[in-house]
Amino acid sequence: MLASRKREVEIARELGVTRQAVSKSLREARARLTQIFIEVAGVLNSDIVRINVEKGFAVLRNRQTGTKIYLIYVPGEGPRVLMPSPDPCKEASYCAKIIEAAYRWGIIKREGEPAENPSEIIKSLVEKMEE
Amino acid sequence: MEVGEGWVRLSYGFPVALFRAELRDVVEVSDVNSLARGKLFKYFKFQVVPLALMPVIPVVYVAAKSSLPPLVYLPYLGIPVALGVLLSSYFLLTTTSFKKFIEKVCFLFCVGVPVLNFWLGITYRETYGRSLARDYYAAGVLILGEMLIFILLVAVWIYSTRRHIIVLEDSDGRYYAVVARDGDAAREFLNLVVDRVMRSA
Repeated sequence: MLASRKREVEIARELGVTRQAVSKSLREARARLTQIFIEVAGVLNSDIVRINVEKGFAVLRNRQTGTKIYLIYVPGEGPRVLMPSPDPCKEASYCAKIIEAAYRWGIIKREGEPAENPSEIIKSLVEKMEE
Repeated sequence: MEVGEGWVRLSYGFPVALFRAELRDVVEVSDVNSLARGKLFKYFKFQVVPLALMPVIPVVYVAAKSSLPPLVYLPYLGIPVALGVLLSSYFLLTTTSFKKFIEKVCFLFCVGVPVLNFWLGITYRETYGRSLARDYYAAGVLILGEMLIFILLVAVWIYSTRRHIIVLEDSDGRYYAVVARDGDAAREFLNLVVDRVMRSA
C-alpha cells in the first residue's frame, strides 16, 4: 500500500474503508519502515544520512570506513543493502529485486525497453538516492 | 526547536518568533551536506534566487534614477548583466551544494570584475577624456560596491561551509530546513527526528 504511490482517497475507495483508516495504516507502515531502517543501520554500525519512508529507502554512512551504504525496502521481502562496488549486479537476482523495488517505490522511472544494463540502472538509482 | 514523540516544532526569530511550524507526519529527513548530488535549487530557491539576480542591481539603479544612458553605451550595461544572470542561473540549477554554488559565483566575480573594471576604465576615458581613477567619487562608489558584494559572498561561503543543513519533508510535500552548527549536531538532530518523530508517527 505504501509503495503503490496512490492517494489515500483512492486506496480507501478500493479497499472500502475510510480515508482516516488508510491514513492511520500508512502512518504505522512508515513508522515500521523507519524502525527497520534504524535497526539495519545499527547492525551495519552506520549513521543515517538520509531516510525517505515515502520512497522506501535510506542512505547510511559507515562509522568506521565512512563509506556510503544504500538501503531499499523490497515490498513483501524486507530491506536490501546496496554496498558501493564497481559491479553491483554480480548477483543478478538480488539486483533485479532492488531494481523492481525502486520502480515500485517510484525512485526511478521505468523506461520503455527492459534491455538496459542493470548496473546502469543501479547507478542511476544511487544517484537518485543522493539527490 | 522542540522535538517530542511524533512531532517536531520549528520556530525562527528572536525574541519574537516570526515563523512557527509543527510537523507531525515527517516522511523524509536528510543531511544535505552529506549527500553527493543534492539539488540546491530544490531546497533553497528563496535563498539563492536573490544571489543570481544580483547582477540586475545596476539596471534597477538606472531605472530608479530614470536617466537612461545613451543608447550606444547600453551594451556596456546589458551584456555584463545578461551574462551574470545567465551564468548565476546556470550555476544555480546545476550545482549540487551551496558551497559549490558560492565558489562558482566567487570565481565568476573574481574573473569578471577586473575585466569589467578595465572595460569601464577605457570607456570612461573615451567618454570624459580623463582617467576613472581621477574621479574619486565614481571610483570610490565602484570599489565600495564591488567590495560589499565580495564581503557578502565570502560571508555566505564561510557560513555555508561550516553549517550543516537538515531538510525535513512532511507528507504534504512541504520542505523545512534546519541549520545545525556542525556535523555532530546535525547527526544528533537527524537521529532525534528519526527516532522520536518518524518512528512514533
